[in-house]
Amino acid sequence: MRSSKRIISLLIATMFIMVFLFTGCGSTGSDANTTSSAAVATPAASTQAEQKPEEKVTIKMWAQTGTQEAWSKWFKAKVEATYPDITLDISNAPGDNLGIAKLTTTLGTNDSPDIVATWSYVTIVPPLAKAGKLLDLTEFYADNKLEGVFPKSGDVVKVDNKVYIVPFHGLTSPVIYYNKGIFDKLGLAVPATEADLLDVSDKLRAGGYQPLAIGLKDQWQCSHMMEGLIPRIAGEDKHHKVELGSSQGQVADIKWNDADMVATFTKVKELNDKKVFIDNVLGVDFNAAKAAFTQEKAGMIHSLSVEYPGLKAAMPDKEIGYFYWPTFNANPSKTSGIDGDCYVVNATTKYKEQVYKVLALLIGDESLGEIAKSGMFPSKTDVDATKIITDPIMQAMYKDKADAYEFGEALMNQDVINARNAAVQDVVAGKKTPQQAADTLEKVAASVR
Amino acid sequence: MKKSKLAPYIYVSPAILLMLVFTAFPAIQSIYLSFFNWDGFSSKTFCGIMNYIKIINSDEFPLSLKNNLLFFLMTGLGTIVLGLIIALAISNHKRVNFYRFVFYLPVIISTSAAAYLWNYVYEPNFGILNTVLKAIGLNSLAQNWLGDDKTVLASIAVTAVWQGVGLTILLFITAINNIPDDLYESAFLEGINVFQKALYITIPLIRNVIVTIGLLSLLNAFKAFDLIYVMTNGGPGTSSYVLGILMYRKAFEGLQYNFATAVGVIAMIIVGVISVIYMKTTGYYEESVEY
Repeated sequence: MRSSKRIISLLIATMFIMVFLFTGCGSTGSDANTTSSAAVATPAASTQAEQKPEEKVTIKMWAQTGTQEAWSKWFKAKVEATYPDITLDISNAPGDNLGIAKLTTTLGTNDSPDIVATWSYVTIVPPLAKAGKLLDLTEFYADNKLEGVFPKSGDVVKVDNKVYIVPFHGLTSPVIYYNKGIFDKLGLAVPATEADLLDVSDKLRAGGYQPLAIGLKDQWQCSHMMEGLIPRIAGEDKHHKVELGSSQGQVADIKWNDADMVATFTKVKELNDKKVFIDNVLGVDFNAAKAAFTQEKAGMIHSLSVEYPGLKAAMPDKEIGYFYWPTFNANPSKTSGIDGDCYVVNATTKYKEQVYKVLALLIGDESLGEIAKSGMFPSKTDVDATKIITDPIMQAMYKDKADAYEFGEALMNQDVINARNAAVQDVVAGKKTPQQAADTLEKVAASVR
Repeated sequence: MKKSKLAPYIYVSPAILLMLVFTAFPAIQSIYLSFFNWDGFSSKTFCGIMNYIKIINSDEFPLSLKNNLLFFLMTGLGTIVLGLIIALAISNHKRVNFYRFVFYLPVIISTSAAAYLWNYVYEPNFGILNTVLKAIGLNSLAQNWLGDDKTVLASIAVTAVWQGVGLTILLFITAINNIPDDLYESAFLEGINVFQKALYITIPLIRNVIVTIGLLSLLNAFKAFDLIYVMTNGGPGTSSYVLGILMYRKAFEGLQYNFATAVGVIAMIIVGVISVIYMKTTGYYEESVEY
């Protein structure tokens, strides 16, 4: 009996210990929750940790190692060779919205990284900065002459005139790759205008091929398509204004139900009705579109510069060419994409000096050249990566970015991005007219502003 | 020997404590948070019932709720009817254990893997389903399964039923095997056929199991997220938007934890009310039949 009492007492004690442990887990860095939201919170004091000369410092970094595998390995080696006192621990940050969830739930814990890749500027950076979660990088920005790297959106990302991001690379998007063998077989030329595109599509269908493999089931493909079409139909200035007005606190000079925005949705519907898109396009995701192109069932694919190495590897004996969405309303056919991924720094980092060293290498010409080899072209426009990039197609796409439409999705609140993508799908499905889709989208944007 | 009156409570207390910490406390905290504006890491500001007003005025919430209810009807009926038919067919078969294993296999596959698999099945141009339909001359039945708002929810429901029916079959077989054989013997003597046997003896005697599975289907339908997220992400447009997707997008993409928790609270209340109505109308609390 006594032994059973002891066992029971031990059990109860264990339970209470477990409860205290569980409820004590997680954030100890909850200082930001008690700060006033009226002013920018002062970041938690990130005093430079004392370091003995022979001690190595480990900097934790989240990069998009999935798409930047080769660059991550190169960069780690570069940092550790240049600064023997730094060990760089790079791990994967998902490139999509899972990354945002991971970032926000991790910042403030004891295990958060020092440097984090992210992309969704206005949705994520200002709230994190105001909550004191991000390190003020104004000094670093100025010292490294990063002002103007994002010519149109840099100011939007500032919080109380302070900078919290390091711009890294953009995506030249959208690109349309085509199978040169199929084009030659059918006697097709690269389309330069909308009429050319329709003609090429008709001839591809007549030849037994699907024209443009585009995965509109994936909402990010809807995004990229709109980023290509809006500047061509509405013009670059309106494109920038409508995206700039799609986040909290902004004034909308151009609204989403502006006549030119409606015209863009109308164009999407026309392209679908005229069978430019692969059949059943709303049921086709990007992987299925890639399969259709690499298996030579489709003559063209709507894709990204970063996808070129993968496509080439899947079709080693085939020649692949590329072009951008052709002209529609006499707006030029050129590449898109300067704004893109960036890095932020955890406000509680203990190694600010070492972090600055890593960031300086990150945005150095050598690093940006290396990332360009994978098709992720630097946001900085004065980097000459043509000597580092060896593939001629990649070199050509890289040179094209000197004159590009600015890709401004990162300026938009995520709700508006989601609503825009849903609107595209509704228009293609015939569930909404272009006007209805534009009106619904504007309603969402207005609620966000 | 005197039994300690406290002993039962002590033995269940670890489970209760874990439930309090991981279920009750988060639920109470969600209710509390739903009355604040909060982005997940800044300070909270009290806003009363504004979040609930926003939800009621939004287009997404009623649409998501409707889709969840439709999803419940499809998966609940599908799981029960299909599970019952298969269980009745195999419960007395000599290879019942083999069949149980085969039907249970999809249950142990992760939901994401099942979703990816069925994405390939439903691919409209080159996927297995449409390819087979076209090959056997049924071109008119080939659809844009996940790309058409008329078929998307039903297509996802088929995947959910495929994945979940194995468990239902197991439960039904266990319940059927508990029915005494002499009930069937007397019925056979009176000349009933197999169909009548199922309708007048088996199904009434396993009614409680059927009702329980229906209740579980209701809860699962309102918890639905991962399958839909992987297969369609709520698309095309918002055709397959459910409460889980709405909460995820608001919380983790839009940093509107306040909105998401308020949606969760409303969903909890709705599911609670539907559950009570369901249990009362199906006689869940009635005493089970004694043989």
